[in-house]
Order: sequence, then structure tokens, then C-alpha cells
Amino acid sequence: MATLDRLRDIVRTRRPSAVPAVEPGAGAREPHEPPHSHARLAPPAPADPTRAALELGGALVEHADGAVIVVDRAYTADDRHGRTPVGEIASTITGGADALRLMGKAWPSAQGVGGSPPGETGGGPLLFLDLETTGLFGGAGTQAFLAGCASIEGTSIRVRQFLMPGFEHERAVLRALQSWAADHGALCTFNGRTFDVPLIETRFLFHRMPCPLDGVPHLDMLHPSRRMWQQRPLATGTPDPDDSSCSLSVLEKQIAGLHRVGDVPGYEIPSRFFNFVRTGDARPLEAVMEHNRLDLLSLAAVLARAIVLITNGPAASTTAQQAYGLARVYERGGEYDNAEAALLKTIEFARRVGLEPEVHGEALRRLAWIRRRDRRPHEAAEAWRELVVLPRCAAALRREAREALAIHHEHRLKDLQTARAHALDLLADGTANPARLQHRLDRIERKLARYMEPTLPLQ
Amino acid sequence: MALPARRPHEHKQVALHNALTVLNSGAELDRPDTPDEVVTAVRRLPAVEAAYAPFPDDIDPRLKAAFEARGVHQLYSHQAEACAHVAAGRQVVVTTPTASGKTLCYNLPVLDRILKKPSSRALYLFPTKALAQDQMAELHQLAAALKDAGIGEVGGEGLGIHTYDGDTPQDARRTIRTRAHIVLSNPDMVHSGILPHHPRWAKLFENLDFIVIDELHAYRGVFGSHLTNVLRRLQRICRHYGSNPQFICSSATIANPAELAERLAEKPFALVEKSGAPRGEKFFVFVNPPVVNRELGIRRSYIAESRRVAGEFLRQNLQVIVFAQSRLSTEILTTYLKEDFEDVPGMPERIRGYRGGYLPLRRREIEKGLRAGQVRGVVSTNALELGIDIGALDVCVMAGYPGTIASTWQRAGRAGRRRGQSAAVMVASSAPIDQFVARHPSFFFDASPEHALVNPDNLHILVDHVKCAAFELPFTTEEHYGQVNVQEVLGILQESGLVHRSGGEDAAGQWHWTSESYPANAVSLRSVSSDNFVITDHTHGSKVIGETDFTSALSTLHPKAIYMVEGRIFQVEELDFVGRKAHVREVDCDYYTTAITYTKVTILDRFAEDAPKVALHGEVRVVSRVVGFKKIRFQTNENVGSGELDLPEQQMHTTAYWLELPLPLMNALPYASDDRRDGVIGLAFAMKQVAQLLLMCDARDIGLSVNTDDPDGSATAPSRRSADGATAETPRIFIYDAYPGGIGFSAPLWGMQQELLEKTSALIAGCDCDSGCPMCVGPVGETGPLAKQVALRMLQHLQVSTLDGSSEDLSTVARSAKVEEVPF
Repeated sequence: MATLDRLRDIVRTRRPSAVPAVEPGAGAREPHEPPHSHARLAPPAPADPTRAALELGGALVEHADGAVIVVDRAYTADDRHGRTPVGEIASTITGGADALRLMGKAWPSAQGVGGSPPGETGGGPLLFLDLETTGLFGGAGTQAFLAGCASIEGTSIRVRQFLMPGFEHERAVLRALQSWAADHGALCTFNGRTFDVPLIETRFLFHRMPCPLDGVPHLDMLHPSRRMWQQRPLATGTPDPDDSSCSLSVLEKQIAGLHRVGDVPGYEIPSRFFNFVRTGDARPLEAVMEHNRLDLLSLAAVLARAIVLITNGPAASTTAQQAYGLARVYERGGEYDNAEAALLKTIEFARRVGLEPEVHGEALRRLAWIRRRDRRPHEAAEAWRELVVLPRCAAALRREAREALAIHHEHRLKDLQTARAHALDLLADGTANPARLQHRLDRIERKLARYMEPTLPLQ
Repeated sequence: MALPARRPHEHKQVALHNALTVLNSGAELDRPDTPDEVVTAVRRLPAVEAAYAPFPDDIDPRLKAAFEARGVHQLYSHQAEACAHVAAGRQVVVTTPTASGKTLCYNLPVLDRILKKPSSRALYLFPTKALAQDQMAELHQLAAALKDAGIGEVGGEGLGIHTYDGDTPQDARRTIRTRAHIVLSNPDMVHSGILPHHPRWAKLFENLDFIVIDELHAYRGVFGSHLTNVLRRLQRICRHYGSNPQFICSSATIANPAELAERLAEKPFALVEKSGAPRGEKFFVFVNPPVVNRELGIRRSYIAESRRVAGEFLRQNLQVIVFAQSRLSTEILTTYLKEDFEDVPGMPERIRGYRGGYLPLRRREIEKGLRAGQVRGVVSTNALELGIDIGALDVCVMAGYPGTIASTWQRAGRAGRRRGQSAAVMVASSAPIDQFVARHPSFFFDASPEHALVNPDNLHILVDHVKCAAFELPFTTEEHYGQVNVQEVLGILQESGLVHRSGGEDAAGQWHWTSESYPANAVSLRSVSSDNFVITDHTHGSKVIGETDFTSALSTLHPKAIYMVEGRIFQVEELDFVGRKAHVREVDCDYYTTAITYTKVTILDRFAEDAPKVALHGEVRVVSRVVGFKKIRFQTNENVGSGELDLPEQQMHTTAYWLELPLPLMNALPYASDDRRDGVIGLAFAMKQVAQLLLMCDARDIGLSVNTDDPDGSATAPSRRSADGATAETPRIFIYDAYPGGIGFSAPLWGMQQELLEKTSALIAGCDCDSGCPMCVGPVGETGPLAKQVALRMLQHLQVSTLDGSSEDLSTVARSAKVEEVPF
């Protein structure tokens, strides 16, 4: 018994030496926690998966290697997600193949989303996937206890959830997911590239089963969302990972007008599942199931909104930021005409408001690059000229534009005086590469001297 | 003073002889031991010829060609022996000296297997990231030679050799997991980065044929106890994937390499210990600083003496490594040597310091400087004891006895090549163990090195790893783990909601991990705590200049502490205990600080109660608290001030051996109560030194505490309180394992107590001083004038009473007295 008590002591008081002793007198470290608080939860009541399935409004499906609780829900055209009719979401996605293909081109992992262009085969219906897990750290001990799937069927959205009735049933859940995924040709998630898919891959690897998601086109809506809805300026080029302005919970409010009531907070989700496993009581899981379903619908709503923006083009955008994001999506997808139009729209917004020098500058920069790529150097130079005089523009952009102008005037226009003026401006502005600039200046001076030889030196 | 210009290589021998002759006052370089002189011993270790053996017959000829291209035309005998054991399917541990070609013992069989079976995988473990980097460089050279020999690919892929540690970029990890044939890593990474993600490593675990553990001797104490558990988890995962890897280990010379390997891997091992490698001639010199005050037993400072010795070699332009005992003495010696050999402004620094806590970039730069020869002298803690490639230096100076025979040989091995001469000098400090070694050189030269002990079933450590293992793979209800009943452990974990047992009460079931946490994150293999303190310098802006582990933070980073980095002096302005930060600012001052720590030990459980009760061992709680600090002036070492501190206490449960001094015995001594207490403290001081020698452990592995008759029973240092009555409480001397849960020193010490008391008696009685000195019962100024005398009387009584069995009634009296005890 002494050993057991010692063990209990070690398990309860974490890392005795790492924690400084509490002030004298305070012998007990956790005065509020009654001893054996968890012990009352164990031994578990024999779990009854059939009853749990019933309580959650689903059915228990038994396989040779375990059981899985399957919960089906259909959302029809007239149902609303927030203020948005489900039918509108569904039909936008069904009709959004072109926009989906564009996103497929813009993000390599999503290559193939939206099916193949007419005349070719491949692709298939989208599978929306969202997992609820026993932890956020990944690793062999983190499991997906709930796999929520949704697909578009005509003007409705069908949600099918696979819940693991106990740890020993994981293979059955994976097998169910495997056969369900086989009917779909592409995957849509929110942050699934870094979280859901690696996690589910690990589970399949753990059980030495082939992962059905391997090589499936995967559109992770987090990335397009950042382009189109991130609030912070993009001056640095890389999105701020802590920026929550395009988390799914923020987006669903803005896009679908959904305000959740009584939603279960994310940090509570694993413990609700552990509690279910220990006690067999499935009722607290109902809120988790609902949370997961709403996430799936919101994901579809976000995709639908992205399709609308892409399809309607820059005209549908409402802010400079959004028009710029849209331009980047077009550009990544190889649609340069649309990209240029969206950039012009961005610049128009920015000029009108005058408060967004960062996005204004970025837009001019991209505009110049696209025009130069399209072999319209004079129009590119126009964008650069506008950029160098833009007030409160990021210095790096301005310097880049000055250098581009110096090159443009020296090599294309052969206007050495102007090239020299731009180079000197850059010198005054400070440059990241003074050696290269000096080299350019020297060369311009040499050329000038050669042309000017007969005349007097300048000044 | 400036260093002379570099001499041509052939002059090295002359330079070494010159320096040694100066040190040895012109005497012969191999002469009888003379304990009373400054140089107490000079031993010439003759050069050793190589013993060769042919390559194994069945080895892939292309691999043989690759080794030949690297200059290896035949094997040393120990390499061939190791390969034969591996071929026979045995686990093998190779223990031969530094630079004897140990790495070939594992590289040859591993590469041969990969060439024959391209799916084969090997995992190499090194105690540090830097060693793995070093080894990867060597393997890549071999791979290049293989390519020249016609093997660009194995099994249609390039030969994959990669390190995998905290520095490996994320995008490279996926490739390494599936493509690397040889993964070079460290136990920490296996623990927190590989095992918890084993499904992603399926290819490695399915095909894992070899686990190579280099520098096996580094895994002793806490680290070793953790490693056994990591290897338990690793082998558990291998069983899951159907592999059964073979172990190849290499170790520096210790007394029990095979036993250690067997404790760590929990499999039987074959031992290869006879080296076939050649060795150059080496001089080993013991220096005992001269006595400057015989009555007080004070010798010249060993730091100053080490400075003089190192200077002698540096002046001859020999490349020198100085090993110091602590981070503090490393900094002090660096400061001194930098003063003696001032750098030319604008030139690379020639004297450098090196220790844990320096940032990696600085360390790489110093290592590189040593290999290139620009750095002429380096002062290091034991951080450079392991096989980091710093080239072969000419001379090793040890400032203080490193504490163990194994470690002394290992450090001495950093100087010297396969040919040519080298020297190692040990400068004894005034610690009793140093004095013992300096005066009895044959103890060192003729004795066996130490045993490495581990205690993998330490419950603190074991429970942590059971959690990690449960996270990695559910335990079955039939599974065994270690020497404890793991089902009981899992039952307790279930009470706290960390695991859940599936399956019915009777049916075979599984224990599943039911917590959101990632348990490996909470477990550090290097210590009991994974918390580090970061040290930030605010002199100009703010800049991180180092870090310190949790346990030593309070004693080295308390407010007003002096913190040194390569001779620059900083003062701690603020210790942010919660944020684990120390804010420092550079200062100009002529002193350093040492912390004063009070320790209190409470007995929780007694083992071996039926044995004679004067001495016992058992479980204790140790509470320690840094209460103040002393300011010590550089050069003179005088105490120039002190301060009080109010810092949180730290506590741990561990095991201890203790000696009780029964009250009748105490009260029968014809001395005043203050003197009696001094005697106890003096006795304790000497006993700890002897215990360290008997246990053959590091000074930091064991702690000492005495409960005297102070009212709160907490002070170890004597307070000169006048006590008029008889001693009321049984004094106890505790020698405890300095790690939570204990690492297994207490029981053996209890078993050797007769020897412990006899040797302590001999140490005190044999000391030349009049009334106590740092070499026996402690300096007279701290222990009191009669300590030596009283301690000896106590020992006489104790030994008599233990021998005639009368201890029974003495201790009965002792146990009835009021003692602080906590029922467990």
C-alpha cells in the first residue's frame, strides 16, 4: 500500500523539485481538489454504444473490427445557416467549377479541385472535412474521435458524422471514413493542411491502413480566406499567424451572419469526449456534434462566398484589401487580365479612402510586375512612377520602384539623365545593396561621359 | 605578455620537455612518487604499438575499398573483435581509449548491412547535438568514398545519412523520416520528437536493425535512468512494428561498461576492452600546490597554481586545454589567462572560455578556432570532456581532481595523438579527495575506474515515462514495463484521469491515454526539471547571453550575484523567478559571489530497520534554501562582504544514508556542547569526502546535511550559540542522493559503512594539521578549534560500540528522544 500511496503522491504533485515549495504551512498543494476526485469517475459504467447513438440521434454501425456511431443530417434549400439560405450556398458551390479550378491552380495542393475542364476526366464531388480530436499537439496519442463530413447534394447539404464509441473502435471509424471518402474526388477543409489531414494520416499510419486522402486534391480555405478577408495590411508579405481576423468563427459572423448560442468552447471538447468514454454518458457530446456540424456549414458558406467573389470579379469586392487579395488569387491562378482589373479596383478604393498606403503600394507594385510580364513596359513604368510619389508608402517598395525606373530609363528608354536622377534618388533614399547601385551609377556616368564628351561636364 | 610566434611542428617535443622540466624543477621525467613535494608524481606512459587484424571476410568489397580510400587498410584488433560479435548477432559494448577508432566499430557493420539490405535502418544516439554533427561529417566522408568506389545508390536511392534533432528544418523532416538509412540523434529527441510520432517513422521502426549508442558512460545517474526508460519505450515501439534491433555501444573506460550497457538496454552484452590502437608517449604529472600555512593547513590556491602551470606550456606555444571544476572557476581561470596572454587588438582571441550555457554559435566558433590552431588555450568545464572534435591538443591541465578516475583519463585523452608526445597535469585542490589522490598517486594509476550507476525504476522517472509510453501506444492489461508492476502505475494514472482502461473488468483490455497534453513535453531527460533560466544582459539594449538550468539558478543567479561569461563580469539586477529570467548588467568589480545554502533533511521512511541502528538508510525530504551570499575577492580569495537573500525554498524527496550519534555517546564526551557540535560537523565534512571516494561518484551526486541541536534543527552551518544544557536531540549526519527519488547510492553506502568509518578515521588521524584543515574536517575558521579532536573521539566510540553490539541500547535511547519525523 505504501508503494501505491507513494505513486499517487508522485502522480499528483507534479515535479517536486521543479516547483518551489509553497510558503510554510501550506502543506497541501491543491487545497480545493478533494482527494481521489477522478477516482469517483472510475470504474466506468459499461459503455452502451447503442444507447449513445440513440441519444445523439444516430445509429450504431458494427464492423468486424469495431463499431461506429453514424449521425446523418440533411440541410435543405430553405434551411438557413445564420442569415444565409443553405440552398444558396449549395447552388453557388455546384455552379462554381470555374472559380474552384482557379483556386486549384492558385494553391498547388488543391490542383484538380472543381473537376477537370470540359472534355477531360478526373476530379469529383467535394468532401468537406472537419475533425474533433483528443488534443492539439498531434503525435501518436492524439486521436480524432469525431470525423465530420459534408457534401453538396443538389440544393441541400448533407452532413455525416462518424463518432468513435470508445478507443478500441478507432479502426472502424477509419474504415467508415475510408469508404465514405472513396465517393469523393476532392477535399475542402479549414486549416486542414496543417492540422486535420496530417492528424488523420497519422491515425491511418498508426493502424497500418492506407490513407484515403493521399494524393486527393485538397483546398484548404484558410489560405484563400487570408487573401480575401484578412484585416491586417499585407505590407510584409507574410500573414501574421496570430491574426484571428480570418478564423472560421470570425468569418462565419461576417459572411453568413451566424451567431452561435450555447456553443461549446474548443478547449472543452476533448474532456467531454474523455468523460463520455469514462462514464458512457453521451449527452454532453451533443453540443460537440452540433459544433462540428456548424463548422462544416460555415466552411461551405466561406467557400461559397469565395466563389462569388472570384466569379463576379473585382466589382463584387468591398474593400481595397479584398480587391487586392482577389487580385493575388487571380495572379496565382494565372488569370492576369482579371488580376490587373482587380489591382486597378484596389487602387481606386485606396485612392478614394487614402488611408491604406500599404495596400495601395503593394497593388501598384504587383500591377507593374504584371504589366512588365505582359511586355507593356511603359505601362509598368507608369505604376512605378505613381508608387515613388505615393505618400506614406513602405520604403522597401519605393526603393524597388526607383531601381526599376532607373533600369527602365537606362536600358529601355536610353534616357540616361532620368535614369541617373532615379539612381541618385535611390541613393538618397538608402538602398539595401549600395554596391549594385554604385555600379549602376558608375555605368550611367560612363555612358553619359561618352555621349557628352564634346560638351562641358554637367554642373 | 605576448605569445611567441608559432614554432615549426618538430619543435613541439622540445617545447614540451622544456615546460615539463621547468615544472619539475629539473628532475627526471619519470621518477618515484614524492608526496611531500610540489610535483608529487611524474609518470611516463610509454608509446604503444598497434595490433592489427584483417577486415572480416564477408564484408562488401566496395565498402572495404571505401575504407581503404580513407586510409584504413586493416583493422585494429578491437575493431575486428567488435565486428565479429555484431556478425554473431550479439549486442556489443566497446570500451577503448580516446582516438582509438571506436566509430569504425559501428560504422563498418552498419554500412555493410545497408549495402546488403538497402531497406535496413540504423539509429545512432549521442549525448549532445554537437557530437551527432561531428559524426555525420565523418559518415559523409565515408559515403563520398563509397561513391568513388562505385556505390552512389543503395536500393535505387541515395545513401541517406542525416541528423535529426531540434535544429532540423521542418521541411527536411519528412524526407529524413522515410529516406534516411542512418539517423543521428540524441535521447532527448527520440524521447520528445520521434517516439511520440512513431507512426510517421514506421519505415524506420519496421526496418531498424541497429541502435548505436556512443559515449555510453555519459548515461549515468539521472540521465542514464531516463535513457533506460527511453530505450524501453523504443524497444516497445520496435516490437509493435516487428523489429528487434541489435545494440552497438561505445564507452570511455569505466569499471562496469557491460553492466551499464545491460542496465540501459536490458539485454546481455559482449564486451570488447582490449585496444589495438597505437598511442603516443604521454607524461602524467600530479601537482600539489605548496603549503603556505602549515597550522591552518592552507596551500597556495590551486586556481593560481593551474594558471602558472598552464602559462608554462602556453609560453612554449603548446596548445593547452584547461579543465576547471565549475562554471565559476572556468570563468576565473579564463580571466587570469587572458590577463597573462593579452590579445593583440584585431587579432582572433587566443585564450577562450568554454562551458555549458554559452550560446551554440559561440561554442562552434571556439571549437573551430581550436582545430585551426588560432585558439592556443581553452578553459573549459566538463563540456569538452566528450568527443567533440577540437583536434588533438598538446597538453591538458586539470585544475582540481575531476572527481573520478574515468573522467580524469577521459580529460587527459583530449591531449595527445597516435604518435608524438603529450602531457597531462592534475593540479590538486585542497579538497580531501584531491589531497588523497595527490599523495597516493598509485590510487589513481593502479586502481580500477568507477562504476556508473543508474536507477531506471526511480518512481519519479518511471512514472513520467509510463505516461509517455501510454501516449505512444496503449498498454495492454498484460503488459510489463521495467521492474515495477506497471498495471498498478496505470491504475493510479487512471485515478487522475490520465489513462482509461477499455474492455471489461476481467477481459483483456487496453489502457488509453486520455489527456489533451503531450506528456513528453513535460519531461526533461537531463534533469528533473525542464525549466531553464535565460540570462539577459541590459548593458546596451537587451541581449540574451546564456542560460542556466533550474536547479543551479537560485544559487548562481540570485539578486546581486556576479555572473561571468568568458571573463566579462555581470551583476544580476533582477531574478524573475516566475518568468524564468535573470536580468544582468555588466559591471566592473574585483570580486565574485558564492551562495550560502541551508539544507534541512526530514526522514520519511527507514529501510533495514532490523540491522544495527546507528546507521540507517531510507527515504528523506530535503528542503534547501539559498539564504545569502559571500563576496570573494579575485586573486586573494578573501571574503569582502556578504548579503542576505529571501528566495523560495526548493524541496525534493530522495534517498539517504545517515549516521546517528546516540545521545548517551554525545553526552558522555568530555567537551562543551559547542565543541561537540563542531565535532559532528567536522566528522560529516570528512565522511562526505570518503563517501564520494567509496561510491566513486561525482561530488555533485551526493549532498550533505547535519541536524545539530539548533532549535529549528535546520542549520548545517554552525551558529555560535552558547548552549548550557546537555544535547537534547540526536545529531544525524545525512549523505543523500542529490536527485529526486535517488539514484541508488544510499544502499551501497550503508553496506560499506564499516569501511566508511574506518577510512574517515584514517583520513582525519593521518592529516598533518594541528586542529582541522580543509583536507580533513574542514577549515578551522569554520569548524571550530576542537572539531578534529572531537570527531576522532566520536569515531572511536562509534566503532567500538558497533563492534561490540552495544549499539542496540544506545539507539533505543536515541529513538525515544524528540526527533523530527514525519510518518509516511
